[in-house]
Amino acid sequence: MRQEIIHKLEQILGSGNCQVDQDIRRRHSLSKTAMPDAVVYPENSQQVAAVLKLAGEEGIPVVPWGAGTMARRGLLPLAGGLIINLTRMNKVVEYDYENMTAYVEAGISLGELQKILRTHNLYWPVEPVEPDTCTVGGCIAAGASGPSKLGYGDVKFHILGLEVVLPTGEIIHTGGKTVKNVQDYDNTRFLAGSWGSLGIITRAMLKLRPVPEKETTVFLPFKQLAEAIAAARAIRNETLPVALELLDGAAMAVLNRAGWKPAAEGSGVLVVYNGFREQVDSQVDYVKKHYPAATVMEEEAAAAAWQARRQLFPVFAGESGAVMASAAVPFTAMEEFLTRARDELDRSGKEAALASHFGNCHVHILLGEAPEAYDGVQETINRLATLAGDLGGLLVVDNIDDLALTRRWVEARGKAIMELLSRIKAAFDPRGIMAPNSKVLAYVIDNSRAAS
Amino acid sequence: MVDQATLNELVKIVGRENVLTSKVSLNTYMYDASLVYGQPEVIVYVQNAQQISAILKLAGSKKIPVTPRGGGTCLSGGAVPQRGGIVIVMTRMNRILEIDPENRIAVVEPGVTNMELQKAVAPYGLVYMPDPASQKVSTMGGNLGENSGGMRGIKYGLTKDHIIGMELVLSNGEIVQIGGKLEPIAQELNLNALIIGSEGNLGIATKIICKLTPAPRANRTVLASYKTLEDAGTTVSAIIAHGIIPCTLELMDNKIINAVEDWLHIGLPVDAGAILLIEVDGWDAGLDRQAQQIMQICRENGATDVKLAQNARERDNLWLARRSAIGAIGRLAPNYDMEDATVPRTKLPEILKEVNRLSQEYNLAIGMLAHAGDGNLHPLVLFDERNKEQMERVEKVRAALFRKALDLGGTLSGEHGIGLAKLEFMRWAFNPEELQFLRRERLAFDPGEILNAGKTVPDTDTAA
Repeated sequence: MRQEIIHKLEQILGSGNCQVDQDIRRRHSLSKTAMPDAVVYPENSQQVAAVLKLAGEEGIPVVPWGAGTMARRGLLPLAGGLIINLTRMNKVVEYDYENMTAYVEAGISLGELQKILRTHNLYWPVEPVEPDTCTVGGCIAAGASGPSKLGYGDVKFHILGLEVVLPTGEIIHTGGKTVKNVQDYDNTRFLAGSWGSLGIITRAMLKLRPVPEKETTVFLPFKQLAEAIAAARAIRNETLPVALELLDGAAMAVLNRAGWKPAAEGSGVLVVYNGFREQVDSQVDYVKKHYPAATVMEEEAAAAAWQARRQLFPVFAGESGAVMASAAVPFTAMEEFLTRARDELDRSGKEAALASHFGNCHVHILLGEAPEAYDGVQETINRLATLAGDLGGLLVVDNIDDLALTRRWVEARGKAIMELLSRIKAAFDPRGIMAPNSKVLAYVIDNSRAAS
Repeated sequence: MVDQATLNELVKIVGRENVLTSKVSLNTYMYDASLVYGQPEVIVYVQNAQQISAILKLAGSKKIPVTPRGGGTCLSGGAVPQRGGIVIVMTRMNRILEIDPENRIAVVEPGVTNMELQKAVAPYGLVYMPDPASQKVSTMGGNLGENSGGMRGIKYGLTKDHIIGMELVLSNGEIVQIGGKLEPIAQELNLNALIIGSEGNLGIATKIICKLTPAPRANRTVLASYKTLEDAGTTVSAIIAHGIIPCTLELMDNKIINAVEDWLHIGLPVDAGAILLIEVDGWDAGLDRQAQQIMQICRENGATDVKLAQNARERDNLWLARRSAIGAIGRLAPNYDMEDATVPRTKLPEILKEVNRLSQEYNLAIGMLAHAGDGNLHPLVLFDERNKEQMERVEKVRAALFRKALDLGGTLSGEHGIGLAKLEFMRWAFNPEELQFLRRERLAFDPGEILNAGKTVPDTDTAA
């Protein structure tokens, strides 16, 4: 990056807020070889706008960045360009606990936010893998969710409005503060999960929920995967769980290594109920009656189980890394998919685990092979992708740079879709500077800069 | 302009019997449930996506405006062909294509009414949650276009929370699939979000994939009476602050209570300044305690009388009262205009007071209905359209009301849309850059601006 541009950035941001230090750049990169040219730390939306104007004039790619905890899932490595790190924009602008909203800057960490919200017995029901460090803006841009998306949906259900800096340098506001709102096109939800490809979210109006009167986790151990699947299916049909997770034997063994020592070996089902005391109790009673081996957990015991659940991928991956694929199939195909996928994985001879957001019909497939050695598991992945497709679903690989499976899925939407997506991209970003490495549009736009 | 050649083309696409041009037909399609009018040049009934695709290609090549229309119950002019051109009537695309109970999915054509879908899924113990008051006639395509709400919105959300995919004909006639039956996992943009509530600007949906929800097992319904609207408004926030999220929390003022009671004779408290109709639902266990807690909160906030519906008949009567409110108010004056502002819940008492003040200042009768839990107000301004001087006052009241709602942190519309009726107020809600951006976005979908053009987003001088 030209010294002149660095100088201009320093004028906008102050010298300490524009970093070209090698270590800092490396911490904001997604591969060992492709690093950004500089990392800037704006302190307000006007600075973000000024940086984007400059980047637009100079044709410099920009990538917004929070804590970076989810970045690998949605972004390809990118050589050069600017990272806009939003963690210095971390204020709560307004906590309106009476209306159950909070207007916050994008860089506030989720841990800090939840602490503040608890002072009035409210919370923001978004629980990504790193629930303390990740930023609110990051959660929105990444379309984050956790096990409770069964009960509450992913992050787009918990935002009412955004302040967005468009790559043209314009600062716009979407949505508002009320739940019912049909003024503008719903760019609030459209930008959720857009991975920085369209603009930079600088503030968000969050829709909060009251902390439930009671919350209980139930753990059901099973010797056989088939029994766990049958139980999960019955629980989804007969009760209203907030979270319903199924883990195969291999995944349970990883949770064990992650420090949670459940009673038995084999597959497991984790269920959460919350709400009013009587409602929780009657559903827990239903489960206990039908599955006498169920263990009921609250407070610390439940927290330990869920902490281990969040650690599933990092512990499984260890130092050497692992490939993670995700499948979605119709609920009625879950049994067949899980059973046949497990058989396929056993045949592959690789270390592999299955974990499912069962109620959402999502399955994560963890394969003991470094992402760099993806070729070694590609055949297994392709077979699983075919299986998912045959059952009316799809499979994508989360943490590699090959978008072939995703591209095929999107192209099947109709031949006009790519052109439509390009026009939408141009409406937001006429100069094409926003996150050219963002997976959501990388297969649409000219992508010569993204090193994949 | 729709010339003879265009009419011939339309006849080729849909058949002679599905192209109407008589004066009576054109007049019939001039209006929706709002106060705006506009005469189309031709009415076309369609049966499938291919016909729509062909019509849009034709209209695009000749720059003819196209207005899609469902049941015509829109309250903001969304179905009004104010620029003439072609009205595409969707009501014959009315098949329920699929109900998949265990996957909790239904696929419908856009002309299916909301109520037809409700009736079709009820035997499976399932519900399509959005329930606009117009559900007997309003179509799923219209619901999608307007992001319709309803009485259960506070707990169960709006149309955008329950439509997860669609087949969409773009303005250039291309057909694409948006979303789908699965919860998304692929890295792609969520186009559903933009299209639902886009008031027919971005495309015409020809298949709609809906999420179904298990029917709540039980409910309790409470009727609370108040001396003043403000007391009722304060109660609303107090209930939510206690961590209770009712499935409905409806407010009616004295004018509406009396209009309904005069008509239905079901024993509503005619002396009350306002009533709240509150329902909680879900698992049976615990509902009694929630209902008791609500009744307690009502009393603490000034309720003069609080009743729990004792049986299904009492409950049905209460809901009949609410659903009949608009019809009943129609008995009081030749015309009404139902407004649709929202405010943050805690601002309800303030806006209710303001509406009262406006009613007096402009000497206009205004009945007050509200989906109070959402802060969604439906003041009904009563008047006679033939009285020009009165109409001017109506316009002034509307403007003052929306100004106030925006000042209180609210919006111009909660569920009825902008359409034509509130187009000019958009300049109060958004700055010129924002409006230009929305226009660019619209043009990305509809570069020739033929789809419901001139609505939703006001024209800006320097767009694109």
